[in-house]
Amino acid sequence: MKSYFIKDINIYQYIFEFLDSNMYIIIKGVEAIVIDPHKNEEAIKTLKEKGVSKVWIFLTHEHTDHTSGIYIFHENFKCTLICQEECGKHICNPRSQRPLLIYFTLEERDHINGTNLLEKFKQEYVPNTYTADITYTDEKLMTIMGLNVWFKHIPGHSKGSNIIVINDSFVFTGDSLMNDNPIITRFPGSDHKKYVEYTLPILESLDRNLYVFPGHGFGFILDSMYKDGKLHIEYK
Amino acid sequence: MSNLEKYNQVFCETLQLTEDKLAGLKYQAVELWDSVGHMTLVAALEDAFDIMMETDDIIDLSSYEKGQEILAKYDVNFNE
Repeated sequence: MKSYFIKDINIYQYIFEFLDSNMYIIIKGVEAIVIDPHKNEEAIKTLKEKGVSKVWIFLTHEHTDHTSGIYIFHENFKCTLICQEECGKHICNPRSQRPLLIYFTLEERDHINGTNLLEKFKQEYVPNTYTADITYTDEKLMTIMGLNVWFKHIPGHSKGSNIIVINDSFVFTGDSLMNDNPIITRFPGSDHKKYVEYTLPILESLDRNLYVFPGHGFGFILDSMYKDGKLHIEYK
Repeated sequence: MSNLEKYNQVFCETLQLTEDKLAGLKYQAVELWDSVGHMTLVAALEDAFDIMMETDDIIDLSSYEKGQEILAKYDVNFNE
């Protein structure tokens, strides 16, 4: 676990051992925000030790490396799940919730490294579908735990991708903006043209001093991704 | 359109290849058939033939020919 302290707010980062995706947690009193949950005993233990009873779950997008642990939070806390409408349609569909990319990536890694991660993941993975409690189409402003939260739809990596900006200080970008991983815009549900023509201008309209918490990799200042006045994005 | 024509069309569109390049084609032999392309290919095959493939079959789908063998298990007949 790694923690960040930004504008009086602690943000905890937990990395999913199978696909290196990030889960982030913010705790305030008996409430917590959990972004892109995966199963992590340490995180559950920390929330319980701090007396948390209510959890707000936010999803940056619908891919299973960012949703696979929703159930564990539902089992332990009173949860409210918030995501973009297309993301909500995806996570309630058993067919689209299959963790195919995780399976395939782990099989490749096992083949190359002689590990047995796929089998371990299969044993641990609990298939689930979810119904979002709150969805939105384009954007939504909410005050949660005293924090100003802005959800904004940014399609391209997936149909239901969004950014989550908190207190105009930091932003959770999922797999739509990362500084040490390329942006994938050719998954089923991806749309490269939409990413370039619609999403990129939205990302470039954000304050360059925002601290970015990506879906994979570590946090960074948005300005560090600028080159010649534009966001420098690598695609895959 | 026959099942073979549909199958070829999925491969050609997903991997941006012409039909003459399909015979003998294996996973990672072309740039677009990487792990991401594989997911797109699987999704397109499932949509085209209205099937839901088992995980082990998705992992085993390592070539153009192997894909036909696997789809036959889902009652997709390539000899029609």
